Amino acid sequence: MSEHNPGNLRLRYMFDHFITDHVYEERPELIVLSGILPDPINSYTNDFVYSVVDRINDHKIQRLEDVDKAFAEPVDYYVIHLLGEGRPIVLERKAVEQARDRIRQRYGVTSEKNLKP
Amino acid sequence: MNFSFRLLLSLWIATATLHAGTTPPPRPEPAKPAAATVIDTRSFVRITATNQNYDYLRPWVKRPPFSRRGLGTVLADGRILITAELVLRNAYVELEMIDSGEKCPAEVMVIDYQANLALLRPSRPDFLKNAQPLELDSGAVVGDRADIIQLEANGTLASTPATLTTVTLTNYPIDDLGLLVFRLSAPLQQRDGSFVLPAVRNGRLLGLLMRYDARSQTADLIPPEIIGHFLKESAAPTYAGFARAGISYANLRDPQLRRYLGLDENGGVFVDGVAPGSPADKAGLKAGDVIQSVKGLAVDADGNYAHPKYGKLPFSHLVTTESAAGDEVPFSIWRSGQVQTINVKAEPRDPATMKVPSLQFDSAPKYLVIGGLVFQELARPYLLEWGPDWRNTAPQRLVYYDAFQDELPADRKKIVFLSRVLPSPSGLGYEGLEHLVVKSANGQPIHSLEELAEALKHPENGFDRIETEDEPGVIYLDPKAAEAEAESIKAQYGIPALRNF
Repeated sequence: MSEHNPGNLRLRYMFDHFITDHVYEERPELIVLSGILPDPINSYTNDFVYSVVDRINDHKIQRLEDVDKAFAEPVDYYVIHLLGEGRPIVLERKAVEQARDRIRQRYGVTSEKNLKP
Repeated sequence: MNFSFRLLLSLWIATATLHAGTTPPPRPEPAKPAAATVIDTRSFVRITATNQNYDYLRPWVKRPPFSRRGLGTVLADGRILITAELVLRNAYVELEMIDSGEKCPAEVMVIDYQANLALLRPSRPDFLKNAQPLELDSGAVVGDRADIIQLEANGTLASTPATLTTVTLTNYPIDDLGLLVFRLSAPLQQRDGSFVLPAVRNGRLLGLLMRYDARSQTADLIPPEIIGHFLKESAAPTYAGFARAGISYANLRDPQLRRYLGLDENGGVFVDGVAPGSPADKAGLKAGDVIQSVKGLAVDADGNYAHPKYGKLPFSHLVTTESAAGDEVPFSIWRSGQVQTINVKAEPRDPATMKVPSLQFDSAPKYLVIGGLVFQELARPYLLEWGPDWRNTAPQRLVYYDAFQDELPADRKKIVFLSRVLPSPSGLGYEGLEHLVVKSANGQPIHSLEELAEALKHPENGFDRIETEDEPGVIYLDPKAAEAEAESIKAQYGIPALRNF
């Protein structure tokens, strides 16, 4: 955490008060938008780095697996709600599908997910 | 209190000196000779303000007084215009005529911390009898020239030519309200009493300088629109100030978000927050609405409208400055695929209603000392004690409550916290505790210092039980022992009174 030195006050607060404020009861894991690999699909989302992900569509995000499940839904739009941000991140599913290979190749991403600890 | 403001104005000579000793700063383009400016010394008075701040870490103590000097502008009806920051926590203000050196005490008639403006009145009505009041300028546009007026140590007025380069909205130094600013390019020198400097154009007051950056040689001026609004409000029986809608918004440039919302046309901003109890909240605006126009003027995807003189300006200017308190401001919004008009009643924010007040200049800090335990209500000036980087260095929980106070439950009126412990026999073992937010006392939820004092009148089984949000979680206090040592604590720590509500 300190290596990234995120300026997001809410994230720092939740991290530091994870136990004392019983944050873990609602969120066993703090799921954070930790980085964005720049691509036309995410050109307008840079302001949200280090935000805590609250919901994706109707899925409450409590663990990383919940993100995986949410993105497996056949919806038209992925609507990512971030804690404390009224404005959601919206990604069109078709555009996401089209961008996958492009982003993997551009950034040398060998695997899109690793859900094992 | 804004530290950058103070630094910029009080230390800019240091920067200039540094440049002089090393590499000269880039020289601005030579200004074209403007029409000769006739400066009438009778239009200005030297101000010496002696101010005294409270020490929020020892809220019963006032810090040593200090003085600031500036140049006040004489207006009609015996008023003198200055920036509010010159007289923050004011103890004594003295006026001095520039030509004669005659002096006179003054009192603050009206002060607006958000707009950073204040009006003074001399204690002797005839003090300004020979003064030449200035009128307010209007009509300046980008590219126009002006003169920034300073006072030499020998009493001569000096003017520095300046060019209006930008008109924009930016946060003012004392509070977080974004208001109109004129940004000028001006190669100012350090001179005596430069804390407040007027700028004139065509023999009229263009504005008051409130920030100066010596590196870029840019000056931020409080412009005629803000001064005019302030003066108009000052003439009313009750000063209302500058309204705010209570909305935060995000741009709507993202085409994916626009398509998701069903927006076909360009423009509009996304409301991402509405402050509880704000005018927008009362009117029914909600997070998720899209503001398409305000007062009939189209709002673009960045939240700007087309001002007839200044071009793109954030639409909040229409509420803060181009509306008076009580005006109905029509917002045209897009909600659930429908266009609606919602009238928002323009109202200033009352700092006293804030859970963590941002301003607290007109009253002493509240506190309660019992058994050496010092309790306070959280206010922004307390956090400012940590210096310019207070958001990163002050106690994190307190910073969090300041930043996200709008998310607290409605019944959470104020944040009461144990700020420190003055070692004493009844507080034995608690000496290291500090910055602990109080949840309850003797079973009663605590939302103000008054509630805490009341709850401590009813100990449980002979002890006061105070619950805190952080460790240790519970503090026990023997009220009889605390009462017995009250006088010795006052004497030992030089506390004149153990409470100030």
